[in-house]
Amino acid sequence: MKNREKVEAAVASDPFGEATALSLQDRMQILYEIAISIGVTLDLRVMLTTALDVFLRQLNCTSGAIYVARPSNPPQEPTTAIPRNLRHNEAVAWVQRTIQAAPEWQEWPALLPSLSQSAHAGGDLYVHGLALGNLGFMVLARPAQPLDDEMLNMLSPLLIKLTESSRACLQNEELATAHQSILWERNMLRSLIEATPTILYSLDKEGHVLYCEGRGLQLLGLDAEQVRGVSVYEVYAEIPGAIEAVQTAMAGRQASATYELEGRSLDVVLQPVVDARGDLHGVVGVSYDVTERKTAIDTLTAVLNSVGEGVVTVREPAQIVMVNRRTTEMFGYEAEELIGQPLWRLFPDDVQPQPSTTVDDFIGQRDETRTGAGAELEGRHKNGESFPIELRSGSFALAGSKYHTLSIRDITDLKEYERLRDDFTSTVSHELRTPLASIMGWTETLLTEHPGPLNDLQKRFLNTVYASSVRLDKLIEEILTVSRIQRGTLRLQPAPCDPAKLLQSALAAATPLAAARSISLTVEDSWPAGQMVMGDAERIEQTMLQLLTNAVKFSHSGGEVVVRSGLDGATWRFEVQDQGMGVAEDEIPLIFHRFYRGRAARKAQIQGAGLGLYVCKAVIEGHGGEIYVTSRPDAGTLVRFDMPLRETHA
Amino acid sequence: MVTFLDKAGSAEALAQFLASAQSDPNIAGLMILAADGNGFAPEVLDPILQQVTKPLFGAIFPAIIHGGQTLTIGTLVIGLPVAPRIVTIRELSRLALPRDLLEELGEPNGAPGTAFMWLDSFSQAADALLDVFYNHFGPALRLLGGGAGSLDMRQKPCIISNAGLLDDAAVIAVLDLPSGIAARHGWVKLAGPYHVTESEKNVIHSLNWRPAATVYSAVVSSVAGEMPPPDRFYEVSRNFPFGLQRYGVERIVRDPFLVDGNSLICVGDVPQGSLVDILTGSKESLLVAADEALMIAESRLAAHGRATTLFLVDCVSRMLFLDDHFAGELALMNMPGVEMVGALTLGEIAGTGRDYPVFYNKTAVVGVFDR
Repeated sequence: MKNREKVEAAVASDPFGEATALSLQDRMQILYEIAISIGVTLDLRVMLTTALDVFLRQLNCTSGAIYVARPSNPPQEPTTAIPRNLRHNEAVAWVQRTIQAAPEWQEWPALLPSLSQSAHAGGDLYVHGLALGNLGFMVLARPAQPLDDEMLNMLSPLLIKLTESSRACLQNEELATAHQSILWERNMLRSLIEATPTILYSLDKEGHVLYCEGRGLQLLGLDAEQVRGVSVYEVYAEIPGAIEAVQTAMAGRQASATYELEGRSLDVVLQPVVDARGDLHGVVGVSYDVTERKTAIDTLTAVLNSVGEGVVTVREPAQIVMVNRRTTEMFGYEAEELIGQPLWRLFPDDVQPQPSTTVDDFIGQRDETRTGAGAELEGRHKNGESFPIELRSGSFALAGSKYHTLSIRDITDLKEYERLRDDFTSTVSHELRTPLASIMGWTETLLTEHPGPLNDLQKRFLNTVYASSVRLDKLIEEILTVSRIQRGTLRLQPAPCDPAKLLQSALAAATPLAAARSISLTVEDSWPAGQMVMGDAERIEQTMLQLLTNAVKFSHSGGEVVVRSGLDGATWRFEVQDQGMGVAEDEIPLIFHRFYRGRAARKAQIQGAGLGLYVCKAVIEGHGGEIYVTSRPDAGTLVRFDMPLRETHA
Repeated sequence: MVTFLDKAGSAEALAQFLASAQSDPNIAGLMILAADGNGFAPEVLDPILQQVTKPLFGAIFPAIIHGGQTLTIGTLVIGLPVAPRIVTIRELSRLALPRDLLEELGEPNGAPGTAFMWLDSFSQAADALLDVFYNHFGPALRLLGGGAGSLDMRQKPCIISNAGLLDDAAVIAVLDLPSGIAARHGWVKLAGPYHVTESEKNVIHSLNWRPAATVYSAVVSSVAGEMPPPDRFYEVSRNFPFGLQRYGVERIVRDPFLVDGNSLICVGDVPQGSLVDILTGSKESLLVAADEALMIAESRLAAHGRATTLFLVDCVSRMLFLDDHFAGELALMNMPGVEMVGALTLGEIAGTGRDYPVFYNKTAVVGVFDR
């Protein structure tokens, strides 16, 4: 009973039997195990969990948590806690009650004073908030009795050790993150090097290969280990250009070269490695395998050099970036003299545009000289002589820049041929007119029967001769007109004229032909009475008649031709619309060319010399007007001209 | 709680009682404590256990306790008034215990609860399992348990479950029953501290950078005379265990039961780097401690009721140390009107809700229940 009494007394004063008196040595023994548990790893969470576990066991606490302020840790969550199930963690519950609202992690330092305390947390629970410097804090909870002051004081060095270990872990995390980042970048770079046909290498001052990597090595059948330590001068022994580039880089200047090695084409860029004091330590180089690219360029160059026309590629606004061999032959320059120069170098002074002029503008200004196939203008040889060229252009975009490809044809021979033909035509036409006038005159005389009576058969024959002579005279007149146009000697005689009267005259002339082919002429003349136009009445009427005659000729028998004439603002608009065989779309730009005859006309064997519309265009444009054609095969054609009322062009 | 005791320790008697318990509406679950002397083997016991549909758990120990008596042969079946939620963990020693091991036990339902944890003492996984348990439940559940197995130091199937008799296993059962739990041993410091400079789990290789067995023998022989040969090492060492200092509680005892060359093998882990004392005790100090444990346990239950069942988890080495006086320890606890059950274990587990749960040696753990 003596024992039982003793125990009952002890339990009465300390119901849980935990207030055992501890000697200093006992306390040191407890703290020692905590001390050696701190900092056993550089992984923050593992380190803190290991330490917290020992804190709890050694100090006989029922729960605990450690909060460390860091961006990766949600501020309202402990970095580590025991029990891990926070529903049963009284230490975490106390922190949540104490701080109320969830702070940002940067706000933890300001909260530390309120959290660093020993407190009675309700019931028989006590908590100790222990600051870990400015990094965070640890909370320990134990029931029945708090840690005594002596023990709390003795914990101070351990908390410093825990703080510094945490700091080391955080620094390690930063280092690990940086290391990961470096590793990631290194791997990315290595992947890039291994995936591209490139060779990266570094050389020491003597030219020995220190480092060499890249898929380009495989293409050369080389191995990085095989190349390492080898003198670059040996590798490039047969390639003077490459050795020269290395020597340039070794002299402290960047160098580049293109060379052939093991059947591959390589571009190399070499950069000297110089320290802050300017001392050279070696060279780094990048070689790009450009075999495929070079093959493609060589092929393209061969193709371009084999064509008979000059080809020039120009970057906006007008810088020449490529010329083919024919261009250099045509203009007398070497390619190097043209590349990088403005396009205008190829043109004579009188067509030199403003420096800011673009190729588009330049080509656009020459629309009036376009023939549909290309613009005709003058080129300038290096020796200063001008020569006629025909220019075609196309454009494309590349890497954000606009480029033009110009196809240039030297048309000196063509022009000379045309001149000879025109001279011949003019001469022959004039020579034909004299005997023709005689034939027509004497035929007319015979038909008057003054020389003697003619029987019916003779009259019919003579009428045929006369009609053919008239047609021949008209053809000669057209040829002469064309010749004048070509020579620039066609003269218009402007005077006030009445379009209504001109229409009536043209209709009167065309009606017999229309009647002969049973084609009805429908006239829609809305021209205001008394309104005059300044123009060469004879040429205009000739043009109107040509358009009417064409419409009748190309209409099917029994068809209809509609003629419209009227005022459209300050313009006289004249239209002839038929329902005939029409013109294919691709032929429309060509039907105003000299001697051009449409496929349908040729097929239908419709007579003509292919000069009528050429003359019409020259006459209308000579009056400052414009002439258009819209047509669909087998549906009909509409020809229209617009002529200004008062403007005249001689 | 309804108890059934078969002092003969026969499988047939166990089968009969389990069959009757199946139909007893007052029994929601069953805990079986069997003595190693019964010689239960899986081929005999498994068919019997697998027929039970009510939740069942338990273990085989060197001895069982009932009504102030120690039985090295016998079976004690305790009919539980509430259904236990049970998780069985197999391959305990080979398992890196997963964090979610106890998820299936769910959360405590708010009422005071108690968990029993029986584990194969040869698995050396007590501390790891306690960590998992405490991280899941914290101090919300009281915890009572210990190491099962045999005194012959051979690992054999010793964990009882509905699936049968298992080795290298543990069973945890959660009951919605309040309890008061306390642990006391009565061992006091003789010498120390000594620095555990090399250890692996429960094996101490060196103390103060010298061979552990040499250091230990030098201290003990100065008190107890010349150490016996290694095969009789425990005859002396059972009187001089190691102690790990803790704040505010008795030292945690680690019992060195084997010497292997210069290393000492203990029941329970001894962390490398820790400081240990060498302890000694007297019959009086141990008995006083056991009495203290009972008093504290009763006081901790007081808020929930009055003790009607006393569950004693006592270390088998205390019986060996106290010898004839061990009956006195049991007599101290044998109170009128209170049914006393329990087991002599190879390591004791206690979680009082007021301290960090610990795997003890040479300690008397008392749990009292009001039902």
